[in-house]
Amino acid sequence: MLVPIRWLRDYVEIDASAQELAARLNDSGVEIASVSTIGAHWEPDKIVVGQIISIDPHPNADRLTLPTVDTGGAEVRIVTGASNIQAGDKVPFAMEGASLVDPRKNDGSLMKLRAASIRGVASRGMVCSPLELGLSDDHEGILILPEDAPVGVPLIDFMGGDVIELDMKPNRADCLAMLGVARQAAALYGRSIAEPDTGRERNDRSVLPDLKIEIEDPGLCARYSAAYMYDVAVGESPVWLRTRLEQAGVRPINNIVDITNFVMLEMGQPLHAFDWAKLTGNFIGVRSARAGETLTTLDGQERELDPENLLIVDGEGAVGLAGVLGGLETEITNETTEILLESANFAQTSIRRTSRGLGLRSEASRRFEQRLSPETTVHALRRAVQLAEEIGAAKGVEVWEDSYPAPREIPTVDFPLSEVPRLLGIDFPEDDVIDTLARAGFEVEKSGEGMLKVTPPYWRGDVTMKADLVEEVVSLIGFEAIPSTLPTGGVTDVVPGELDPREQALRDVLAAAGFQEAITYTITSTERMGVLVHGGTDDGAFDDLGTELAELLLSVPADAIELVNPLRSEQNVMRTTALPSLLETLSANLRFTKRDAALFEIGPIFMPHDGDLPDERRVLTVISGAWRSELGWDDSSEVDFFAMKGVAELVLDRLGLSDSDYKPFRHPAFRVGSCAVIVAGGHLIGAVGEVDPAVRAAVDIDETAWAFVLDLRRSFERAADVRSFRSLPRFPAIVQDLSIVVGTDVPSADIVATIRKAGRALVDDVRIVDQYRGEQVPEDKRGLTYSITYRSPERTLVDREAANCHQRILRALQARFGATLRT
Amino acid sequence: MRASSISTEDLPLQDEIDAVVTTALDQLKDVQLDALDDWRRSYLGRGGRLNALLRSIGSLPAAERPRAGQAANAARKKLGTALKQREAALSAEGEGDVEQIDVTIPGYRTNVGGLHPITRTLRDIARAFAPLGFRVVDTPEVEWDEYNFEKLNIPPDHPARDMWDTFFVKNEARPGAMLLRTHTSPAQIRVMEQIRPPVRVLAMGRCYRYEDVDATHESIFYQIEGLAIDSGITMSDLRGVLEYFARTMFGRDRKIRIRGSFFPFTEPSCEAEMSCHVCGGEGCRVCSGTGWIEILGAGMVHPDVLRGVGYDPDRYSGFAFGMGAERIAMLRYGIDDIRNFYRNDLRFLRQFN
Repeated sequence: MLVPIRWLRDYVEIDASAQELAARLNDSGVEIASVSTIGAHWEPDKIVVGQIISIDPHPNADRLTLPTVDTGGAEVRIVTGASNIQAGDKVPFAMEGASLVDPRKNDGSLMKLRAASIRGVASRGMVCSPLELGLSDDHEGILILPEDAPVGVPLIDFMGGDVIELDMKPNRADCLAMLGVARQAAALYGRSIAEPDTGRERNDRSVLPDLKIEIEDPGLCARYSAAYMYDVAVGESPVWLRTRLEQAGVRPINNIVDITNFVMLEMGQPLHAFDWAKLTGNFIGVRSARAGETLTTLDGQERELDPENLLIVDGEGAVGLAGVLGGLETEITNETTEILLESANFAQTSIRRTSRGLGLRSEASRRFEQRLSPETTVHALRRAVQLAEEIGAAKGVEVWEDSYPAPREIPTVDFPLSEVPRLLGIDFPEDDVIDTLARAGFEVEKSGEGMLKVTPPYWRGDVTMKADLVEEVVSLIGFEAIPSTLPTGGVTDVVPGELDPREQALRDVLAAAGFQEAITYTITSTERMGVLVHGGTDDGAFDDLGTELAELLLSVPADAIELVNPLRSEQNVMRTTALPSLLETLSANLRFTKRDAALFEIGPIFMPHDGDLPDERRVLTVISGAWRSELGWDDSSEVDFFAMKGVAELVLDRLGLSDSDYKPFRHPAFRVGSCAVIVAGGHLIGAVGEVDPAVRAAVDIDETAWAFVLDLRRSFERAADVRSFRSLPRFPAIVQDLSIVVGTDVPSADIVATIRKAGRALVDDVRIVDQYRGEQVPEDKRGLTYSITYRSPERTLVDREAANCHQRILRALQARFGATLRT
Repeated sequence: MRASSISTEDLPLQDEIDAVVTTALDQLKDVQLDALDDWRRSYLGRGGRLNALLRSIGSLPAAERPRAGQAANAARKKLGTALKQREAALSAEGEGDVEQIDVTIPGYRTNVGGLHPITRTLRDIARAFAPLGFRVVDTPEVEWDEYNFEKLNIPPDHPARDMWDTFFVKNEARPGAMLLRTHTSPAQIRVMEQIRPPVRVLAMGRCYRYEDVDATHESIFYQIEGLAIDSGITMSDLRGVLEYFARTMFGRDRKIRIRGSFFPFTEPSCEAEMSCHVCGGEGCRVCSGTGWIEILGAGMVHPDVLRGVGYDPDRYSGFAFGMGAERIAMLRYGIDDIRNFYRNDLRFLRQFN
């Protein structure tokens, strides 16, 4: 809401500058969006109200004219290209040296007006367009001022001034009105309020036609008051009224509509004027719409209504959408002579539903959505009728009918003063508390030792309990009075749902291993996730392990959590797998990164759960492009399966899951033969391998890509957090290499197990050193070299013991796998 | 030197040993590469002068022999070290012209990765609050309307709902009841429903906002929510805690000022501003010339919220605050466009490693 300071000063004497007042209001919880000045660059002696005396043609140009302007003391001839002015018009006149918005630039920058000669005729000033004055971007013609604008007066005094823009929070409905903001300012500065003048009473009932008001449900309409206006002369409003509205950002329409808008801005009470002649049956009803009922609203649209909508009806049917928009048929026109002026209090919820449901949000509906006081309806009618008489728009009777079936009681709050220090940590003197509340219009009564009885004013429906009063006191005295302390007291028990510190540990491990953490969108689409199962889900695409992995963290189910109101169609479901987001991220980065495109993310996937909240599974996704740098200035190596598996092992080591098993599997996301699921303690926890070429092609990655995915919950469940200590070796070791040739179908893990078993307690460690396939071994065989560390925990081994053990191992490998010694 | 200090008082052989060492070191200074072996033999060799002295130990009284032996060994070690040093110095000299490495060429860099700036920020914030006893939790991202709004004193169709632009989730059984959380405040309810005071938790996590993305708005954001409930917790404690946080994160001189605001789940409600960490309060571009930077919204937990989770609002009180991780990160790192965070451009992410 825009609050022109000049308007505010009608109700409260404030000497402070707009900035200062705005800061004070803001600190008290009435949030200020901005402070601006209308006409900040209008120097009083340079831009004034002028009047066109005559217009002569330009001797050398058809499109230009030569108006002579009365500037209030002087007559100045200028050259203009504007065609919308005539002799007699009042216009903004800028003299030489005035600052105006430069119409040739689009940034609102200012230029200084200089005397100029245009096509041979001297021009010593300028008549201004709204754009040149900085009022709008309208540069079509000159701004024509109202007929009663005073010639010679500085324009800044006539239509400029400071304006505060409020950013209304939904608690202070009272501040959706000039009067409410004035009351807040008065309370802050300790001033009194000058209520709007409603003049003498206008209650001559002899002129009134019959009227019956019927409220179907007082729960939806607490009060319906109506005024009667007659001898109506619809026309333009006087300048002061139009200026007021314009400064508050409301477009003037005609005097009747302008009055309703003015009163709404002033008091916060929306009004609606019906053309009485077009209402039938001397009847106004407030009721819910019947199914299938229709109404053509002011904007010319025929609207189908439903029982959610609250209607204003006459003897025949709907004439308005209560609190939202009037009906077209009963609208005020130039022919209107009698008016029923509605001032009502509708239920917040009903108005909100209707205005949202129909996509109709108006200044009126915005206010009705808040908690307005039913007390205001009659005040607003008095003010409107008084204004109508004042500006000669109509005569009126203030209260024609007033239906208020269940007058609202204002609750009194028992307020122990001890609440103030209990919630704020500071104790204000009793007198200060009483005084502060009284200044804000609260009735305060001492009801006992340290106890007050407080009744809020009718416009403060937001205050209903002790805590509200504490807030009221502190926001008026100032939050800055609150000291700074640290809480004392007990320690919090373990809380369910605490973040698992191992997630942080894994992040650190991966960062140290050269991977950059990403945070990707969790909202995606089924199509985007669908790249993982590009080849369909036919029998060959998955084996049992692949199916299990899919269910864990690589599936694209049809019933994924779907948004009702997505921002765009490619972001309409919650992801059930994180790999596609990381592939997209990798793809985007590969456009400018040739190596070390290596990323990871720890975050949730959302598994649907039968209409209940989804199962938010925390998963780790690690991804890498084809190349990574090596020690050197420009050295790199190609990432392969073992490079990526090494990363997986690093992570699993950190979790104490070093003895996990790796098994081949089939899932369309991974290249067959170059991937493994990871099994810990008999449970599948993740997978590592090469991203299937078709999958990466689908996200425009044209080099090999590697992925490692891990279900964190399953991993953590099996993780060994505390390691057991092993004594450092006390005796020296003997290390011997063993090179064998063995069938390609024999897994290395089985060979290592056999080495350990055959070597018994003397084998301290077994490491792979080399794998060979090529000419020197048959096609279905491969060479494997292991480095075996022999050591006894009890004594220094002699060479012979190690050699014997080595032979025993070789024999076992021969017997079990047909391995031969490679020479 | 240690060798001589072993034998301060009348150890008969000490003087002789010291004399040998002094002479040997003196000579060594001038010995060249080809004569080093001769020097070694004459002092440290089998027939060398130290051994000659050692042999005479046998003639000492039995009680003095160990000390004399130690002294002789120390001297041997000292001479041995001196020999190695001389040898190294001589051979370096012998290499003639020394080639100077171009020390301006950058070293080999191992590729290290790093954490996302939001992760760093969340960690730093958690660390800032940890000494005050705040435990860190996260709760579901897909939430019930009940937890995201109703239990936080925001009934259906309440105008306060306009403060949060909400993504709703399809749910046939309960249409309109499921959504993507718009703030971490549901964690307040989820925690208080499960434990009794004293409560001090920090809830951190991803939230969603139904809003198009531009330089200052994202449809996802991370929020940090603090909650402290006990008997006797006041708004001055809130102010103190926020000041402690601001000083920890942004420097010892930071101050906090608070002003009134509105949130449906706190009463009184406030916004906290921190004195600008860039200009120190003088006014600059970062603080729009005001000297103050808005960092969070806060307040005393609303009595209705406490009542709703079974806490007696006349016995317990407490504060809650909520801030955006992106905002804190943007302030700390000087990032000017929020969209950078979730584009995951490595050239951006690596700047914080």
